[in-house]
Amino acid sequence: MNYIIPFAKKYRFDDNGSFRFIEKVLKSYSNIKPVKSKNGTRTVGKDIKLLFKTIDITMPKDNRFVYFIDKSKTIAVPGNVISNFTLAYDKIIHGTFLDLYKEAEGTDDYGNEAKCVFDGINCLVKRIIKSLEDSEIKEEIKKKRIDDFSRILNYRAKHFDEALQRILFFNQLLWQTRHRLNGLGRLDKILYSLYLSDINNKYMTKDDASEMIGDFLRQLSCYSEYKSDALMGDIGQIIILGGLNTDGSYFCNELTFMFLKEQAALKKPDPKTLLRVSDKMPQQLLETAIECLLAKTGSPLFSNDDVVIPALMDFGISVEDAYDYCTSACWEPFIVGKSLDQNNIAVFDFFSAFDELLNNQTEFKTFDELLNKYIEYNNKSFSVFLQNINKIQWSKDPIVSMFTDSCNEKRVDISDGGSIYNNYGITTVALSNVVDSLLNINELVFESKKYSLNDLNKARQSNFKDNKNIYDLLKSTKKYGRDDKQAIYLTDIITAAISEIAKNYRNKYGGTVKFGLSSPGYNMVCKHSPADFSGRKFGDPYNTHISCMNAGYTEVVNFASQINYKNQRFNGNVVDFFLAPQFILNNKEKFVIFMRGAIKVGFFQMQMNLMDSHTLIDAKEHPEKYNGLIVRVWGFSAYFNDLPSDYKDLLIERAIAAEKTA
Amino acid sequence: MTEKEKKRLVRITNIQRFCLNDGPGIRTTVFFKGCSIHCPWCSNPENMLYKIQPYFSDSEAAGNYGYDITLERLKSELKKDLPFYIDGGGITLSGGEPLIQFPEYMPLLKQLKSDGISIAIETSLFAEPDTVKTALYYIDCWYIDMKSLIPQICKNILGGDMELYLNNLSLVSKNTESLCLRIPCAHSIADTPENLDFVIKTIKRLGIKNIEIFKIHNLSEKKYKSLRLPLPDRKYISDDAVAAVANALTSNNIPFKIIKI
Ligand code: SF4
Repeated sequence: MNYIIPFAKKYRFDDNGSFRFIEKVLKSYSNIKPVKSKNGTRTVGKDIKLLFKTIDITMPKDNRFVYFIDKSKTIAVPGNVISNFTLAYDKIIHGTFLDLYKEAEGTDDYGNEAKCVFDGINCLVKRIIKSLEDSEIKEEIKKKRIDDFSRILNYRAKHFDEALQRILFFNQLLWQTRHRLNGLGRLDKILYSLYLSDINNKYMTKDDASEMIGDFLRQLSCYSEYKSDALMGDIGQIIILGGLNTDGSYFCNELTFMFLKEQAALKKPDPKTLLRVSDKMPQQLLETAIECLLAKTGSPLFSNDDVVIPALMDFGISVEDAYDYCTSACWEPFIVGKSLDQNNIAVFDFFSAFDELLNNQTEFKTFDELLNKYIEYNNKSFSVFLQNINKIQWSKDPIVSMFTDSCNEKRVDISDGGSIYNNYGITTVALSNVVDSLLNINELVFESKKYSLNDLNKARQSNFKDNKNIYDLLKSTKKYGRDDKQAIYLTDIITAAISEIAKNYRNKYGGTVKFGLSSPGYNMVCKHSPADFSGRKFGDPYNTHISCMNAGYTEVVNFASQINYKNQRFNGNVVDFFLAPQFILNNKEKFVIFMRGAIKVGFFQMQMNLMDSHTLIDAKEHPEKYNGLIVRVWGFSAYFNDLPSDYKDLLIERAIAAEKTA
Repeated sequence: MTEKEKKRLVRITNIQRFCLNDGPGIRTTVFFKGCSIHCPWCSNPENMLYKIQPYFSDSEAAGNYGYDITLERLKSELKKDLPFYIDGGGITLSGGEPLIQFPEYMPLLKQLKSDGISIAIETSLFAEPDTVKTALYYIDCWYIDMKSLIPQICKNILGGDMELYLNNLSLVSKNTESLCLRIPCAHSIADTPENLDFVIKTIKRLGIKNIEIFKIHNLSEKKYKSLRLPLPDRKYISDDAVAAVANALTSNNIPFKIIKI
């Protein structure tokens, strides 16, 4: 069982290639050892118990909160550990872990595993208290933390900082047990009652609260290399803020503002924030969010409740859950505490069927014949793809099961389908390249009849060697991402076809599969992918999420807003923009207007890279000058210097294009 | 619009969305082809002539500047960003001289106005007084260039009639609150003491409050080249000219903004 891969896969795309990857894997093997229980048959629960008994404890030096990961130990359970989700932290703040354990307790396997987990955590808490007593941290903090840890499992949280400490503690347990991409949830909502009572009772001031949030985020930002998943910075500690209430009013509070501001002030790529926006939100909050963008950490990402929630309800998610949605690490809507949903288990490539079709056939009487044939090929390719995802095995997860609704009652582990929602989510790439390819073919072959499809295809197959004219022609027309009826029509008709397949698909839990049009895969899956008719050459990156290098901001938003996201198509659909920071600084008020308009028009989600091309070009040449430079990569932010050079090049190219259209 | 009006053609070079510097809020700007004068520093040389002109890249003719569009199509283009026209945003008529084709596209403005869309114009005001009078009814914000107030310069260099301009300016200034005067600080044109004297007097006489001045730039060399026109004389580009205009305004207590175009 290859338990080490999650820790090493971020090095896969290093500039030095596979050699360094192997070296890193070996290094991770020697650095991170699995803890294996010895008495009787090994189980996940027993391993966890032993792990928590043996991990090294580190006390904070310059932070009020205790937070540590023993990077040298983990568990090596068979199967994939459930990741890319958020634990229901509210259950151990407004309730207790003891309550969760009591629900799970029993003489069956489920109960035994829960007992192991409870014992392990209990033991760790005792060890932490002992370490706190022996430590040399400030008396006042020491006392407070000992008190917090004595209450951490058996009592509800009384105070705001106690709750923050509790989240940190359970969060570290997740990382320690090999869960990856651990989100934080709706912290403004979960923590507000404690915040309010502490303010009213003069336990703390608002400034204290801000500072506590700052300290909390700072702790989460530690261990960033260890936590990074598919690339450095891909950590997934997402905090969800704001959002519509079921009565249609907009929810936000002082904490919403504080979390946004403190995240920005930290100037780290992760933890990151996602702001749930709506036509009903106060303008002041939008203004604050835009201010925070200027901190250039890539946060917040905007998720439009006015579009996302109806799509969730259309899928069959209950009203209450839909209005309470969070997201997986990037943007895929996720129902916290009720869901197994693994929302990014594989990347589907819309182009591979197109390539296959054109390799087999270039004679079509009409454009529609070509389109229908492509859809047929693509549907087939999608069905095969879905069969493969069914093979994924998940490891037992007693910790997460205890936190997840209906697992305890059913006495079924989350990995066996114990939770309420059990769907899979996939991301997709290259739809843009296919749509632009189709439109180019339509224009050049069927409308103006400048070329035969055979000629175009030969040029493509030769990677446009000796066909500069064709290449330039193809590259210059980009319609995906524009207010173009045909592009919207093609996008919808292609996704509608596979959405029917997705709807009828059943994973082993009876769940279906959902997909979205933004994916981390745009710069990975393309590596072996031949040239296409959108003017993309062999191996070049696919289009990034929903974006268009030739279109202005309102145009891309209009495009994104006209796409159909219902019928399984809501697994994250992010418009990705580049903006020069100066552009927002000079036009802050107008940018707020733009965002208000954009929310109303109805984009699904949106993220922004505030960066000018000069900075990026200079940073590539002189990395030493840019240690703190953060960029948005796919759904996460990272230090520019940590990125492989092809990612750097793509960011530079997009920044230049954005400056041209602005 | 009547069915006939919908099919009426106007000649434009470009429709630019998400414009942030052409009036309040977010705007879509239409550039009409054809101008009534010819400023030697013009940054939109492709808009000077009404006729459709080829543009050249290297040696080949690569396309045309200008195309005819029906009012119906133009309307749908202008309305694409409608949801963004909040807080005073809308459309801006620019060019060239947008007032030249005004009678042609007036039915469209009538419709846009009744849809509640704000209409701004960037004009040099060398236009038929009757057109200006009618335009007053439709235009919500006026951005009016003041290039030179010396009649001979106006006539010989720009090719415009000073009296026509001044009459139009006073007509507009009397009938609208929303007027912004824009002074391109072309060296040897705007910054001569004689011109500045006229400028100050005119501003005071008409009580114009909102004034923007800007430096002439030559971002458009590419366009001149593509039109195979000689490049504009660089003598008009001058920081000193901006300073001279700014000084004159300041010393007469006339508030103004320096903007980047
Ligand atoms: S008025 Fe404007 S468009 Fe006309 S020539 Fe002068 S600068 Fe160019």
